[in-house]
Amino acid sequence: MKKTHRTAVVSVPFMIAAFFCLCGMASRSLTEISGHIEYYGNAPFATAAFKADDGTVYDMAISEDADFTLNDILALQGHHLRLDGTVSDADSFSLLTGASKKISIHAYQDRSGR
Amino acid sequence: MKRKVCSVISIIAVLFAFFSCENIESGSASSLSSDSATSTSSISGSSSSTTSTTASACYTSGTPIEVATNTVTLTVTGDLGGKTIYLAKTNPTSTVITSTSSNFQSRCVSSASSNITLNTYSSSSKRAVLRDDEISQTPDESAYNHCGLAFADEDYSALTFTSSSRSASSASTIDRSESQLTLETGTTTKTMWTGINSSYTQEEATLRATGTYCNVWVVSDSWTSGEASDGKINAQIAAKMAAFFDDIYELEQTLYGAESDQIFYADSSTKGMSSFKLEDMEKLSVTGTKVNLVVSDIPMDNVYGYFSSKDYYPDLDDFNTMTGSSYTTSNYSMYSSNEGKYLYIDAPACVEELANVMTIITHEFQHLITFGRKTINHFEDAGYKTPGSAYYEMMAMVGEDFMKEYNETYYASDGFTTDNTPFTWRLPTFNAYYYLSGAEYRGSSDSSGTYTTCSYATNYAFGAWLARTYGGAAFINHIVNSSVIDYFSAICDSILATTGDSVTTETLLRDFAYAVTISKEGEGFRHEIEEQTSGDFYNTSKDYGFPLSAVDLYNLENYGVTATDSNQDYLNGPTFFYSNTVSSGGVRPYGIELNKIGTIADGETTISLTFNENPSSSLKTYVIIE
Repeated sequence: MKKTHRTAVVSVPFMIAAFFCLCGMASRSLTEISGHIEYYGNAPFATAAFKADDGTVYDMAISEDADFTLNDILALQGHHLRLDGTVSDADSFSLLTGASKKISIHAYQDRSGR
Repeated sequence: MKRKVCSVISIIAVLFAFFSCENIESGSASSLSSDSATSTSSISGSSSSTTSTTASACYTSGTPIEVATNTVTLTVTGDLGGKTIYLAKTNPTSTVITSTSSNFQSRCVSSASSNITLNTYSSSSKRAVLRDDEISQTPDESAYNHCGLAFADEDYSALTFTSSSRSASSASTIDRSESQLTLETGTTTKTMWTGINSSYTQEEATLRATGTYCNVWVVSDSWTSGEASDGKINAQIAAKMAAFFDDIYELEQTLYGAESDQIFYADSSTKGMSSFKLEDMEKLSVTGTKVNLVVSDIPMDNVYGYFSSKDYYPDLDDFNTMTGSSYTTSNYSMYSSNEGKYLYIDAPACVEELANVMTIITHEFQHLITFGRKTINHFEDAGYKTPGSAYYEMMAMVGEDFMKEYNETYYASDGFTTDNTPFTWRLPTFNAYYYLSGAEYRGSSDSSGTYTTCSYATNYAFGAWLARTYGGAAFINHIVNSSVIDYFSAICDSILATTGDSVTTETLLRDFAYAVTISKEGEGFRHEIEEQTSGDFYNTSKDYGFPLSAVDLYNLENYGVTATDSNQDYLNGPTFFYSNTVSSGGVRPYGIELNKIGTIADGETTISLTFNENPSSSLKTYVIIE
């Protein structure tokens, strides 16, 4: 009995720690940004970027594991969107939009009409 | 294949899908002539318990009556007999106000007092708009989108760059001030980057004409020593282009200010757009501060010319030399810079109709000036900022407008007429399809470019109205030179600075919608800006002071627009929806939508209108009675 009890004392904290560790590994740290599509620069070089509600402009890329394309998002120009993705510094020479940040989009939601 | 410039777009019928105030819920039409308005029930999907309200207003000519969001029944009194009622809706926000059956946030009239003859959609109506013409063709935007279309899907992937690791090497400076090209027509050659986007290629071009302010280079495939034909230009056309550019060069400088004579320069600290330096153009450009017109067959349908800001940066080799790094074409987007002031002109367009090319040169040079005055001039204070595409294109088209009278006077012998100006290129399209795009740059998610073409039309009409309403040259000059990047902020700021008028996006769209709806001599689009004969915006050597001629959306033929098979239905005013229909696309960001409600019986002094409940609180609704 004593042996079993000691085993339980050792096992449970380990299991709890393992549980939280695995959850942390399974969940992605994604940034949510709300805003809309805008185009920058003169045509024929007009380039779409995402203008957040706070005015920050983000270049857009699509996450490799996404099941949608950039055109799916661009078709929602004029809609208020929420993008879930990973934010990083923009590619060094973002001539067309001047954005300093880029979002690699994992998911999106059309929030128009809310 | 390039199309004639006088054709106008038309759109497949499905884009005219609509929704009716009666059938949002039940699908059945209600009586529309009862005094006790048999209004529809609340819109499907709405769970608001907002109390319906009535409101009243007095009619004053020239004054739109704003209908509050929660007003369902509006009573108007005044001298109303025989007048026409319109409904103007505007969206002063950046997101569309939807009008789907499950989320109807727009507005129309569901019923009215019996003294109004309503324009009501019924099943016997051909279309949801008050036009009899059948629209069944896809748009032909070739003449209207000479700056090009939005990117196709594959082009976007080409714009995603990844950072490279830098290998250690020493950075060096470059100075070509003492090694400028010797320019000899017919002899001097230069290897240029031509093409566009993923199709950039290097070609040798020969100098074929020079002006005081420009050089005209022609790639070999676009040149003939004989008669111009088959997409190849000759010496006569090259000389004409040089002479025209020299002629308008000083004029555009008078209107906007000079283009930038500085070029972005790099050193070992350059790691992004904001860490470039600025140096005199001659340090990198072997053509100094002259503007180079490069003539080739631009490999993109419907693109007759372009400016690219990449040419204000070092090319790839120079960038790596100056920074001591080893960037490649995949991670340095300005690799195809020709290093200097460059405009690119489509050779077949020059052969087809040189007068159009004159407008294109005017347009593209305005882009070049804007980049200098909006981005370069404020770079050291504000970092790298670039205006939106709607701003860029509106300003360039209004630039064509300011040059219209000059070109029609001095280049009539070259065939320049109103049909080479935005009056013909944009206004019929605006009349037809203004509701498909607000004052936004609307990219098209398909290759037809439909929406983009419509956005050009709306942005030109908006800019033309702004310039005529708020003082012409002084106002436009202020916008180009201010540090404000945001489109509407720049407009409002410049109106305040040049006229003292305090306006907002909301009031601008209200007044624009009114001007589109009502044609009055001397007002709105029909307000002529007289030519200046002295002062900052009068060019003495050219004796030109940037007038803006009046134009009537309801009578474009009277203002020089030639009627053709494809535009004749759009020369006499904008498209109106019935009293009880709206566009299924909703009210676009910074857009308007117009209904022609009906006519009031003679002698009447009181009317009432009943609207659907619970429209979007962002939607602005105005009743216009004239």
